[in-house]
Amino acid sequence: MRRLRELLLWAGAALGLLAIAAGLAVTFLGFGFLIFRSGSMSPEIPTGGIALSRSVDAADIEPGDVVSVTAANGERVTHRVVSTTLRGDEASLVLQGDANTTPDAEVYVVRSVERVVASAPFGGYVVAHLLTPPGLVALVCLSLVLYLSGPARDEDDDERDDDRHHHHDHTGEGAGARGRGDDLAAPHEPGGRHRGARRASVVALVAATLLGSTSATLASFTDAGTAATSTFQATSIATPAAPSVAQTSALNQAATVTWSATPVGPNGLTASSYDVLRYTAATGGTAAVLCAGNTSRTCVDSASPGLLETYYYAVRARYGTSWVAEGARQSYQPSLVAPVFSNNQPSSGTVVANDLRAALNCTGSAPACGTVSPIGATVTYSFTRVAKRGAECWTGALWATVCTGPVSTNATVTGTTWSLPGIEDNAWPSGDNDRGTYTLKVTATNTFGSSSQTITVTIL
Amino acid sequence: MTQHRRPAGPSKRRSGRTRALLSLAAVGVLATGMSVKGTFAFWTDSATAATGSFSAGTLDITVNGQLAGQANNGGSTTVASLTLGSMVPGESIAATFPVANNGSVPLTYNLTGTGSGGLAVTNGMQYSVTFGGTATNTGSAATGNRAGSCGAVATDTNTTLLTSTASTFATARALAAGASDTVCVVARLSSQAPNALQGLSGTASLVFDSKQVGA
Repeated sequence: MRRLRELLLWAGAALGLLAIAAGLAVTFLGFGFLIFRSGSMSPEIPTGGIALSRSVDAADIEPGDVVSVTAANGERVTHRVVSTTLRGDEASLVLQGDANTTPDAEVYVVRSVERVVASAPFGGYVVAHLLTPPGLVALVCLSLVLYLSGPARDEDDDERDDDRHHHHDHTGEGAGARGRGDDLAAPHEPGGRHRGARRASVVALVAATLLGSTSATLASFTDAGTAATSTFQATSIATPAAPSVAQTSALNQAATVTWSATPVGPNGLTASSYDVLRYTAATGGTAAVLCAGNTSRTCVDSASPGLLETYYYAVRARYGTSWVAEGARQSYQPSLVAPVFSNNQPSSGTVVANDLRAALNCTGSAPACGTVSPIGATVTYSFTRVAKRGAECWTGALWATVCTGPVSTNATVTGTTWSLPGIEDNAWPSGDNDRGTYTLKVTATNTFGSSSQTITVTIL
Repeated sequence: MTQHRRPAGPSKRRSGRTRALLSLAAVGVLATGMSVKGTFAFWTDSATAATGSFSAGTLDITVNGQLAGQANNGGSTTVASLTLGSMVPGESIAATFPVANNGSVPLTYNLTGTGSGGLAVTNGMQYSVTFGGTATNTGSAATGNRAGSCGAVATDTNTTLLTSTASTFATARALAAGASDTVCVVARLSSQAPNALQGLSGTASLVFDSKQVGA
């Protein structure tokens, strides 16, 4: 029983001194205590832990420190520093609890923080319980019990106690020295229990000290759950097959390009539109785009390859605004043929000059014109008449009795259109001397041959 | 302490008691002196520092019925219904799944998303998130017009592109303990998807980052 009381007294005394030291530290050195109300800093500081903290300036905060700050909602939060950004004497802190998966949402801007210096588990429970009114009453009662139980024993010990003091007095030491002597002697003297009791009562100070400087700190939990989507797979346009390319007709060397629908993905979807690309080489080169946005899958080229030239056609399938896929190229060379006339005017026959001119519809009022296919043929003409003045030749501008130069002269050819030089009023006059037989022979020639057409008109 | 002992010198018998009393007095003075300012703070604090305020509770958010328990904090679960193959530009799919507070304390959560894979690029996969909607899916792959909706049919303008940079879909949504939200997600391949995205795939991570409310 006595040992137990001794133990309690000394424990109380030690706590009392600790409390005083803590009180001074709190008051003058910026120390404080933190009670951990939740476990986001576990395992280092579990729920119910207590920590000793010291106020430090913003500039002294380093990542890895455990610091206590006040959140916007007024709650005190104690977490570990992830990063700190110093601006002037303010630091912006990103904190994260050790047990948390993510940093705190709030960035704390602070001038100073409480940095955790040391921590102990369970201490917070003890302190929190002691700090309640019942706890304090119990503490005071304990102190009083220890104190009041002291004097009863003191009666026996007074003599020795007095002796010791006398002894010290004889040595001539001052009161201060004697006081120190008390402390030194205490462990060996039963009389120490006086001071033990006194010190035990100091236990109350523990509560009072912590009370004045303890902050409950919230270490709030976080939990991040992630919903991962399964895979989203974009499909693709299949590579279009090389198109079929055919000569448009025997007289038209231009190509007609046709192709089949291009699948988009495996579900029967096909390309929404197509372009036809014309190259002049089997690989590489720059394409001319024909029939852009075609949906009928037939495209007639307006141009055709020249002699000894090959065109290469490819189909580019499109889907939506941006997806394209270009297919293989199909080479094309038209079956080249000798030129053929068509739509020539005027027609052969017997006619009044005025009617003939009225029927003519040639560009630039040419005396005669027509179409010659394929493109690239050379057209020559021979235009003569036999009237009152005998045989005459068309010079390209007027009728002359003496035919000079070659009998055949080049007509004007533009694309597939040929026309006779001169104007119709001069070539088909309506005077008395101009009545007679007019003979126009045009001949178209290319590498593969030539063909001619003769128009005979009798002007009445 | 020395000061308090000094007067105890003359009377040895009373010295222990006197010094004890003085100490007690000093203790009292010190205690009250130190906590004069903190008296109200104390009583206020005592409410928060009382036994009951220790958070013995748990914070636990579940996604699609998965990730329960502290062991799965920060975990990830795959929502199987959020998938679509052979997508052409403009196609979308919608699906719902629950997010629940499986813990014992109320929480708030933020929802952010990030994309990954070849479709997590400009005009790639884009997403929308609504709460409480019903997922409706129409169209067919054969006609390339599959469309998902959570009330409004997804378009390029009402969906958000997700790249490796996180985008926020919701902030501070509250969930009481035991409560749940129905999350409706539309995933859409932008109608402006560039040619380079043909044949590529992508996924997204929707992170429900929950935080304890108050104590």
